[in-house]
Parts: sequence; C-alpha cells; structure tokens
Amino acid sequence: MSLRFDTVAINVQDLQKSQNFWKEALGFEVEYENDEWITLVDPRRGGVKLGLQLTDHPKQALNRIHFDLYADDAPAEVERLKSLGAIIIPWPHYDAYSNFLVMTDPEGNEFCVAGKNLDFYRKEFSL
Amino acid sequence: MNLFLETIVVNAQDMEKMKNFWAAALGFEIDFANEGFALLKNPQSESNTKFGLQLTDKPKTNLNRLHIDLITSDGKTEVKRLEDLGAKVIPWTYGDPNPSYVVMADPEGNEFCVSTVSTDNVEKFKGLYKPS
Repeated sequence: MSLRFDTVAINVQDLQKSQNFWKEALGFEVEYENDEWITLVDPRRGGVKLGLQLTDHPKQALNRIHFDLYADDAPAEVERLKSLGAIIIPWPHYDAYSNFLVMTDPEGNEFCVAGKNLDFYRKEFSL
Repeated sequence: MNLFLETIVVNAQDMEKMKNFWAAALGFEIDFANEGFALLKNPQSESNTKFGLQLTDKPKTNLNRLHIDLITSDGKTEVKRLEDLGAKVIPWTYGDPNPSYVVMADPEGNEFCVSTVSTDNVEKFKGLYKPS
C-alpha cells in the first residue's frame, strides 16, 4: 500500500487572512503557495500538512470535519488564539468529561482546543 | 507556543463502517474506540497526526469545507483499492486541464482527493476517470 495521509485542506474566501491565522496559530511555515492554494507544514514534527484552497462560496453548515488541537497550557493558547482572531463559540454538548473548548477561525471554521484548566471557559460558553 | 495539530476528526453516522473504512484506507490502527468516538493512528509514526471519527445523528448536507488529501505513487492501484473498500470516484469539474488527482467520496459521502506524484499515473487517471 503506497497511500499516505498527506494534507487536510480548508476552503477559504480570504487566503491571506486564513494563512496568517493558521501560520501563527500552529507555528506552521509556508511550503508552497500560488494564487489559489497554500500548503503549510509543521517544521517541528511533520505530520499532516494544512492546505488552504480559495473558494468564492461562503461557509454554510457546521463543518463535518474539524481539527483537534492540543496544548500543554491550554488557557494560554486559547488567549493567544483569541488575539489572532479566533473566537470561542457557545457549545451545547459539553459534559463533566469534556476536556476541550470549541473555537472558530476567522472564517468560522470550528476547531477544538484540548487540554487542562478550560472549565472556566466551558462554564461561560455552554448553553 | 505549544499548540499542536493533534487529530483530524470526521463526523460519522455509522461508526463501525467509517472506522473500518478509514483504518483500512490509511493503514492506521484503531487506538481507541467507544460508542461515540474512535481514534485511529499511524502505526509507523508516533508523531503523525491522528484520525478521529465522532458519532453524529445528522446526515451530511453540504460539500465539505474541509477535505483530506491522500498521496500515492500508484494512483491506479490505490483508487481501485479504495473503491473495493467502499469509496466512490465522484464526478468533478477539474480546474486544471491535467489534474494529478481524482476526487472520491468515503462511505458517507465525504469528499477526499487521491493525488499521484507520478506523471505516469496521471496519464492513467486521465483515461480511466475522466470527470463528467
């Protein structure tokens, strides 16, 4: 079998804004770019690449696919992501075992930040 | 900054079917599974991004905003293998006149791409999977 899980691509309407956000958010670097596509890679540990693909369609439904990000110091990372343009969104499905917080990128794509000490945010943003 | 892209999670209505498909498709092992969540990981690499499946009761409605790109040196063989596992090649309007990829859908209709890095295979794709 020669198949490899290489990239996860997000359709975006503002390539520059999404690039700036995800590069800073994850510490990724640009591997390739043209007018319609950007590939970002993790210089620290490889893994799956992040693709950004230009679209003229706005986001509509809740995304079927999302990222789970992990942080040792989750509250610090949540604050850093907020300063980069992410927002915490209200989420109705938190329970006593939840260890994550749901946020969105500048185009509204939902992602999770997992880690310790996020109870404060979950209380504020549960429904 | 100590934030990592840990897992790519796909919502699924049939956990069993999706878990089996994606584990076989990627050659990943099932690291953890309960009724609502399954985690698949690459047995070759600890640091590699994991693949998650999360139970939902909602059917897929739109074209996915995020998609998975798979790469292979042997597109013809891998597309056939994925079809045998339950994926389908779907009609697609390719912007590039010489596309090096085909668009497929997993058993629940999630679009993903199979790209080939071999020019030889691009030629084979063009003949076999001309999009309608």
